[in-house]
Amino acid sequence: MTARVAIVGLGRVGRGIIRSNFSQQSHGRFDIAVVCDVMPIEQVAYLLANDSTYGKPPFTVDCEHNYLHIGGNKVRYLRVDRRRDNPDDDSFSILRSLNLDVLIDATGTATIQDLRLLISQNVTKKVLCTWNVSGLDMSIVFGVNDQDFDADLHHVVAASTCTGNAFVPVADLLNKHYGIDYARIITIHPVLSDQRVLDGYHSVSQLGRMCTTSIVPTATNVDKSAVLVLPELQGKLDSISYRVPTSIVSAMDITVNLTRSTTQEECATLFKHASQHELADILQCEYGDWGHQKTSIDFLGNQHSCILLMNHLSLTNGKQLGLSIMHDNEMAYCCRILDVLGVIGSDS
Amino acid sequence: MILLRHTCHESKIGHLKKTSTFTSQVETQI
Repeated sequence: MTARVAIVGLGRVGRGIIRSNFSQQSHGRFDIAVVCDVMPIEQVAYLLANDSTYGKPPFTVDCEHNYLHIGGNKVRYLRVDRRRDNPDDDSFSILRSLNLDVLIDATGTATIQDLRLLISQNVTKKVLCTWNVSGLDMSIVFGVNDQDFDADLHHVVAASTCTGNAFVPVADLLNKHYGIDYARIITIHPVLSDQRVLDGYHSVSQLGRMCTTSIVPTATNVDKSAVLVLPELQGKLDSISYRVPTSIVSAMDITVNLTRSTTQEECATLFKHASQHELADILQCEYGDWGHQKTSIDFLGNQHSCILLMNHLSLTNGKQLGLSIMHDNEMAYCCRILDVLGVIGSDS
Repeated sequence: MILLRHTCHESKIGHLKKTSTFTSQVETQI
């Protein structure tokens, strides 16, 4: 039976999940029963119907009273009025009445206490978080550890992060075959809505600088995300992110010190084989078109977690491996969230 | 609702309440 799902938070990820769900199957891959945000419902419909990154969706969008009509599917909209003093009780009772299997939290801001309350108050059976909230039961990178999910043990889970989904499958592959002594991960990431358009206050000062004119160095959690899935890499990873003035598709430049020596040809064969077998639909080996390399925008809408640029694969002294990766940081991640939903929703 | 409560940077100044941006000060986890 299809899982009944709620999505809380309709930012880029929340709306991307809706778009992916109704693009994959016209009636929806999953039964999204309710979506919640602070926006008026008309604005939610407007943002679903008009997307500056991906264009118009392949389904119709309309709204009426408290319902969105998405490709003919009726989805309850629950607007949370942030000006109310104590809005918790009736929001919970509405959600509880919908008999939810999984609540996807895409707010990016909830605490583990908030999420566990949803379970203990019988609002939902499972919570799927779109970032690695501190204290979660399990972080799932689809294609790597999704088979370890245990419905009796794991109630609040995360689908890792966009960069986690790009790095971990490759790291897992390398670690299994050669061992990893150390890896430095540099992400070159498009702007995000946590940055300012013009200079202004931000608790992370550099994110308050004009996003269209600077390369902004900032932190990334990709190393921590990887360790949640591959704990044996604890203490072996280092990372930094540069936010660049593009809107979509992230790049990663990775240097790995392998434990055991190999050859570039053997590495290339390993990745190619994995992309056709255990990491099919997760890893893509990219060779360009007619001898010409692609650029980041060419991967807009690509659903693979990780696109490995094979022309930039390099190996020095048998152990120093250089990798260049790209991934659609929104579309691919939202597809993985649906994949993880398929894992935890089927056991609810 | 408790989840979205955390996204709201409520200002004590009434006229700013409606216009306060609810994501601009929270760092996105990537």
